[in-house]
Amino acid sequence: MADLAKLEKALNEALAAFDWPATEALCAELVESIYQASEALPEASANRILGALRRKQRFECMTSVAEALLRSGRATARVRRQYAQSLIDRRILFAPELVLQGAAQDLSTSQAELTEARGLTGRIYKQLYVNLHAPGAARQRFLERAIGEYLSTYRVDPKANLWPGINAVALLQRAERDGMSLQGLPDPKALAKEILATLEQREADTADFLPAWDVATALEALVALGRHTEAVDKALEYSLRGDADAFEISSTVRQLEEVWELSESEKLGAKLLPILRATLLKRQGGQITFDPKDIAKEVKRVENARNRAPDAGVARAKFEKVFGEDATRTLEWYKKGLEQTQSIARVEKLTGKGHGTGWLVNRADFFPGDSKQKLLVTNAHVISPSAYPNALAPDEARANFQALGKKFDVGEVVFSSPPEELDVTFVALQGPEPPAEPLRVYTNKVKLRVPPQRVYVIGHPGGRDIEFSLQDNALLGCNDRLLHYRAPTEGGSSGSPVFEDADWRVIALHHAGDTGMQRIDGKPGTYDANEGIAIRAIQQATKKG
Amino acid sequence: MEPIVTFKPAAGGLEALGDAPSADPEALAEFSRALQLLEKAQLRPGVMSTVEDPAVALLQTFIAEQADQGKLSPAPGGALEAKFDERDLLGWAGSFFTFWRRLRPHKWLTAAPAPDTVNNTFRLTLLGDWGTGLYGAPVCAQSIAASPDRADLIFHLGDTYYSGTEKEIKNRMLAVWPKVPGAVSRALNGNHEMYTGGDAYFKHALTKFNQAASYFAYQNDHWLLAGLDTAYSDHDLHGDQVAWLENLVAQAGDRKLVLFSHHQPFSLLDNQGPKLVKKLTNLLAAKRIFAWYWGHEHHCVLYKAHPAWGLQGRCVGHGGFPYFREKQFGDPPDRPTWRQLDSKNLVPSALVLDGQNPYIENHETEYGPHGYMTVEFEGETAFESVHDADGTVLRAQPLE
Repeated sequence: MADLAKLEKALNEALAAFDWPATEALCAELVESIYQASEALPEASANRILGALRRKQRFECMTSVAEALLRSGRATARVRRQYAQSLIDRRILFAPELVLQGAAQDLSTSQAELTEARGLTGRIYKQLYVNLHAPGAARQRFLERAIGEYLSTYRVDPKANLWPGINAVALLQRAERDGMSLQGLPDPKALAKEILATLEQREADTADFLPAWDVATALEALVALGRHTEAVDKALEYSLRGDADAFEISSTVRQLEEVWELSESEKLGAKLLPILRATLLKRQGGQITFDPKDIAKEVKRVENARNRAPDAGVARAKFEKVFGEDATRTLEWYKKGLEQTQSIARVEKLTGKGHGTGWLVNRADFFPGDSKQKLLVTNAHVISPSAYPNALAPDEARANFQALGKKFDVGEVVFSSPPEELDVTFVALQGPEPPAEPLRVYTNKVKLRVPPQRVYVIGHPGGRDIEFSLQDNALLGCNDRLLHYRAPTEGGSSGSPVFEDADWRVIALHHAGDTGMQRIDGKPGTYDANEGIAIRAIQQATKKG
Repeated sequence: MEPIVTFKPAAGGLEALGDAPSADPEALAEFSRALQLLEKAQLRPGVMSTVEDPAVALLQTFIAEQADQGKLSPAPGGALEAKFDERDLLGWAGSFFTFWRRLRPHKWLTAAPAPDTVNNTFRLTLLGDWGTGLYGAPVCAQSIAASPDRADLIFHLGDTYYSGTEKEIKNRMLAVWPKVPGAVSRALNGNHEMYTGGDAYFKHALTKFNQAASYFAYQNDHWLLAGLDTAYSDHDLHGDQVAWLENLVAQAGDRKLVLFSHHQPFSLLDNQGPKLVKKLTNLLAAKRIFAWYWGHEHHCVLYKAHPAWGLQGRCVGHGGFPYFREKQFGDPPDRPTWRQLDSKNLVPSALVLDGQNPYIENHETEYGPHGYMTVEFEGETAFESVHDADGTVLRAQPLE
């Protein structure tokens, strides 16, 4: 275990950089090292490593490391619980129950771990209940068991065990909505009030802020009590918490959607979900996918969340006083990101099959003169005037602006540079111009920040509907011509705009991805990366003519 | 290693002083006060420490000179010890005040009204509170000299320890200064230089750097850079500087203005700069200052944009003087780490560099890291980087 500290450090760095291939490789190395070592990995290290993997939702890695720990003699209740947790989050629900039972029967298991084990058992049955839609005895049994586990855990120490308590509340109200018959159970509203009172007391007793999880618990309690305005305020408070990262926020979103059944189509969901989604998008590891026809509605919802009170002037001032400007800025940033989608098109064959992505630019941003003509830009390997394998000829291509609900035939080619050079084609569109603003381009040199900045790719991965690609998206390196980044993109993303993180300006034209890309970050070797052509390099070429 | 100062009561007590040479009572009281402050400040024997007090800084310089002249005793760990006892205290005091009384402020020098020109693409390196010649200071200099990204301008944001005497300016600053062929160097005045009236700073540092005055300006098509002397009058702007700066700005069109000074306009860790703020009210209120880099506070702090003035504040005071880590940050991290400070009383929130200092032997975990900053100007953009003393980039971001 001599190199454990180094290994743990490297693993933490890989997790912080969202470098999943490196994380997987390091976990494999760690597993080997655990099996080869003459003594068990120190308990504190084991807990730290599993906690770090969980926080970044690397559940498969977590399973393999926990399994190696269990087999190598580090079978503590906590490791067993983490193992079970990793399986549950992978939607494997039978095996973890046995693991948790083992921990519960072990006389050396602490009271705190017993609580966690019972709570997780509740989680297993909650998931089984939510997954099963057909009425019947099994569904009833899952629900009763889930509520039973959560409630009994809560009652062991109602001042401390709030998360099982609020889950019981959520399931009791869900059961009411589902028309399930339950006997001898508490009134969920009374329980929610009790939990809220405990949290208020906690807040009064500490000079510090409550942990993010407590804020999320309070949010659920307010939802349960129908105190919607306060719930929205609590969601805003939650969104500002630095200790709530993508894992916490996405867990809350999942709970609100799956158990509370909130959705954009009803009043509370339309207020709460955009706030949480905006926050998720701002956090590292957050990802959102949209059906294009829902984007305009989401923009409206964000607008409402920002000016949520009838008297917007007064409410806005009060809102900013309480929450600072950060919440407003996040919502505005999110709205602006959503608005960019209107200018992005799926490049299709005439049959309607997706082939790539293109986006609108202002002609004067790239070509001499001050023409305000809107051009579509994409890769030369998507649309090319010369025969290039798999590229469409202009008269074979169509631009489908799904967010606008409009399609345009491709017209004349204004400029094209072959795939081995700048891999770019600018084309005119036939007919009246699309009713969307051209995207703004970032024409300064892009420089790699420390810590690395994130980039956002919006396009049509796999030829599917428009999609934000926001996970694992750190910029890896850049030079005058290229940008490398770790945003996950698949075929169909070719030609997508790559946005900078501050103000949604396009910094690159996405064109390729590879597992063995030559590094351009000044270090030798290769890495897994996607590659975009720097807008500045394209602009220099087009301006020259 | 810095001399250790200890005070030991004389055998037989103060009565034994009966035949000691007489000294001016006022001077003796001042000497006694400085000595007590100095003893109190020496929390880690052998490691440089300071109190923002001219008498203390001068006494430190004086003791260091005594060490150079072989007048101190060896102490455990290789240090030299200035052992004061009541018997020889009067003798020390007499010599010290002879030294102090010779000091006079150097004549104020006036800068040219027009800025010097600089290319539209250039790299600026910033060192603050770096003039110790010890710890991370020489390491910073070597890193800057060895960097493949060559500096075009190098600014020192002031403070050569203990009090900027000729010997200190020559040995602790100029002899260690980064050797970068072709780079233009500029030194700002600091309170420690002024403890000896700034004499050696004006005579030797400015001459060596071919610098006409203790304040200066550079300009290109997009930027106006102005270095201010906030030490000649302590934490204030002496002479014609305000009018000089306002005139430069009036001629600068829409160029972005970046200020450099030793003292801070505001701080989350130290005093505020009310005199500076008052004198620059017009520029601040008009949000005309884009960024301001300063030293003095012995930390590296990156502030968010000021809520009222819009400027980006940066403290780069961690060049070479040993500074204790903030207790509020808890245990020292293994690697340099950025800590968040919340905004307070209109001072914006900030990131503060925390970590260990490998260059302060046996006290690595108690002192914060040394380092420097660079700013790459390219057209209308600027990109700033914080470097560890060994050159490692700890943070890099656009200045926007």
